Amino acid sequence: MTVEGVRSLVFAAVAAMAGLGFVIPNAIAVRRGLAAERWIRTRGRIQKSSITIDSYVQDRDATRGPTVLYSYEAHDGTHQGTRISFARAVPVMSRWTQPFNGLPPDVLAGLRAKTEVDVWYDPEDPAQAVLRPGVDGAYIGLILLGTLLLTVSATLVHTAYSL
Amino acid sequence: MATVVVRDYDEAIAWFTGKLGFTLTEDSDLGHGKRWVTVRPPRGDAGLLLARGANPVQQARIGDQTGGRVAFFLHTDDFARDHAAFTARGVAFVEAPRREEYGMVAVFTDLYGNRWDLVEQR
Repeated sequence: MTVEGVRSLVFAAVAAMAGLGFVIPNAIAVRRGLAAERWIRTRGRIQKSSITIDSYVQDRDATRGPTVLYSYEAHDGTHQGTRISFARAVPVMSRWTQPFNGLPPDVLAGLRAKTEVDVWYDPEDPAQAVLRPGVDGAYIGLILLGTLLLTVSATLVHTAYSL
Repeated sequence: MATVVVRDYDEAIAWFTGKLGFTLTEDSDLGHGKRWVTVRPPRGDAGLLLARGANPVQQARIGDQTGGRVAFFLHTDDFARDHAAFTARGVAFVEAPRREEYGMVAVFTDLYGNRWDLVEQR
C-alpha cells in the first residue's frame, strides 16, 4: 500500500470513530425518546430543581442542563424521577443564550418547586420516567452527520485499497 | 450566601431575575410551604437565599433587615451599563449616581425596601 493509501486509512479511522460517536449515543437517545411517547402519561410534582453555574464563557455564565427531582403517581405507587428528556434539548445558559445587556434565560422555567407537571412513565418499569418525551430535530441532524462521516470513512477505505 | 427575607417566593424570584438579571439557581420544596430558593447575580460568586418570613417577627423584618442602612452591595464591572439597565427595568434608585473615593455608587431599593448599593470600584 502506498503512503497515500496509509494516510487515507488513518483519515478513515478518524472519520469512522467520529461518525460512530455521533450515531450511536444519539440513535439510542432518539429510540428511547420515541418509545417514551408511547409511555403512560400521569401527573407529577417538581420537588427540587437546580443549576450549577460552573464556568464563564466570554464573561457570561455557562451551565449544564438543570437537575430536577420530581414525584409522580404510577399504577403501582409513587415514584421519583430525575430525567427531563432523552432526546429533547434542555435549556442551558451559554454565551449564545445569554445576551450581554439582556436578562439571562430562565433555565428553571416550568421546573420550579411544587410545579405540577406531566410525567410519562414506562408501564413495564414504572421507575423509568421522563418529563419531555419525543425527539428534537437536532438529534436527527447529529445522526445524519455521523452517517455522513461513516460514508466518508468507507469512501476513504475504498480509495486506500484502490491506490 | 446572604439571606433576604421575603414575603412570597415567586414574587421575589420574579423581581430579582426580572429586574436585576439574577439567575434562579435552586428551588427546592422543603415541605410545609417552605422552599429553599437561591439566586445569583450574573458573573458573581455570591448567592442570595430568598427566605420567606415564617412568623410575625420575621415578617416584620421584611424590607428592613438593617434598620434603614444599606444592607447589600452589588458590585459591577460597568456601572453605567447596569445603572441604565436597572433604571429601564423599573428599579427604584433613591439617589443619583455619585463618585466616591472608592468608585461609582448609587443606592436602590429592592421590592421590599431593603437598600442596596450598586458599586463599581476603582
